[in-house]
Amino acid sequence: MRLVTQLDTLSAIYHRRAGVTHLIVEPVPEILAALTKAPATIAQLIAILVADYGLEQNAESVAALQARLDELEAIGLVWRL
Amino acid sequence: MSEQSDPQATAETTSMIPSRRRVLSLGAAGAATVLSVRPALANTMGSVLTCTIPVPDPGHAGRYIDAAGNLVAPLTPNAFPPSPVPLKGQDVKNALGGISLPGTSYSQSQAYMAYIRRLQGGQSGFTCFASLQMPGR
Repeated sequence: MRLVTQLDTLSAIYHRRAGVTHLIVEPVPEILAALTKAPATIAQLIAILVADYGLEQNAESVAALQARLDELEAIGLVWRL
Repeated sequence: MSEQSDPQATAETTSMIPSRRRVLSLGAAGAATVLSVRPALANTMGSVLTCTIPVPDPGHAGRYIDAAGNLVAPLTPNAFPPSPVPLKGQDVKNALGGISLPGTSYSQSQAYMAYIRRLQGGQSGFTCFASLQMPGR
């Protein structure tokens, strides 16, 4: 259903049925990789990103991650349970 | 509240992550990290002679079509049965010029065309219908 290609610092996801190509940059690949293992709350996601991808957590982390998730939800790459 | 991504993409997404030696940044709250590109219809058109439009789309197989092009329950009075075969792009193009669709009465053809005109992106037949309205086709 989706083709993924690495383009240096960008990744391209081609969604066949929608005919749409998403060009994504950090931290989207990391977020998608974390969520494909299992659904997660924002707190759990932050913990995974800290542990697996070296995220430096700070006061803006939750708001920034929420903004990334809102963006991904709007285009259909993630969804709420 | 939890978030979930497509489990089929597991192998794909791990290969997407570029190797980094610095810490991960989540980006600014107002910044965008995804750019979605959809091709213009001109790049996705097939030949008008070969594209087809099912009436109704496969997801609504069996539904009847009323005079306004709405999908209604089977056997609804004054509604028309589904087209037995998908309509050919060329026939629909001719219908836009006033010629009834082959094998249909005037009112049935009008009902089918009303349905087709209501098609939205993502529905079967939308791209075919959009393409046959392009100039030069």
